[in-house]
Amino acid sequence: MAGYKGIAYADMNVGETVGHYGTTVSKKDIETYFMNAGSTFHQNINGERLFVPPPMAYALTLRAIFHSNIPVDGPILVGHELKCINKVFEGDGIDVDVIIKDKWIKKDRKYIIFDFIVKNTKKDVCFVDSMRVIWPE
Amino acid sequence: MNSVPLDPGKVKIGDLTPEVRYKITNEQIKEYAELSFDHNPLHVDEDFANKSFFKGIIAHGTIPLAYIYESIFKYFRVSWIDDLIMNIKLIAPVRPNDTVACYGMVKSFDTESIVIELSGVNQRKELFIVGEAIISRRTLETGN
Repeated sequence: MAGYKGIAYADMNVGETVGHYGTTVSKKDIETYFMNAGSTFHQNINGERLFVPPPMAYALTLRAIFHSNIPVDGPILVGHELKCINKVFEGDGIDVDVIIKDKWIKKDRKYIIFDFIVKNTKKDVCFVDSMRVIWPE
Repeated sequence: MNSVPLDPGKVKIGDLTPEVRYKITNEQIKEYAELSFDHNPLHVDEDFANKSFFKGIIAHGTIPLAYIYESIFKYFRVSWIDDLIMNIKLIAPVRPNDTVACYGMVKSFDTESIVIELSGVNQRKELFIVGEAIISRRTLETGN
């Protein structure tokens, strides 16, 4: 299964947009996420179109990074800062841009922060996720 | 929303959000890999994972975050909070068959926001996640 040949650490430049992912979030996508999480908070929604729950935003940002062929084998996730700004409803189109926010080396570990900007088709920012990872190599 | 949202005026320092407990399964990890396109071999390739620093399959770090959110949303009795900021640090891996328990505690509040300290522990009571949620009182008061 190993074999990702993404972007080398040395080739990542702060401020650079390194990926993009666009999709329409379907009702099935959201229901699949709820089933996977086994979570119950979807039961609290009454009479409203389903919307992407905040933790599902992480799955969408992961899609963006893998769709854009950024990872190599074995990056380690260290943390996230997610800002929830506007709901993404079932049927909404979204665009996710992946930007290198920062990078540094500490104790031989190669850290990167990716910013993921999730916008709807009206260009409203819906989520901003800053993902901190350690890059292998 | 089925129940009345929590009145932010009733929030007290030290309040605990409901504990949310789930067992992480190998099947769930494989499905999440499909859902997120994240087939990192640390999550899906036993041979690769066994030879890695982690000595075995680990769950995607984002899987248990659902339970952190669920705990917060249950506390406020809402399904969405505008301007919610969640800062999470993953400090240990979660493995298949781990049972994780996630919860939060109100750390501070002022007229603008409520800060909740977040934690997740496994069945061995080892902390695997820490973090902080910052919730705008304005959005709670306007019924979001």
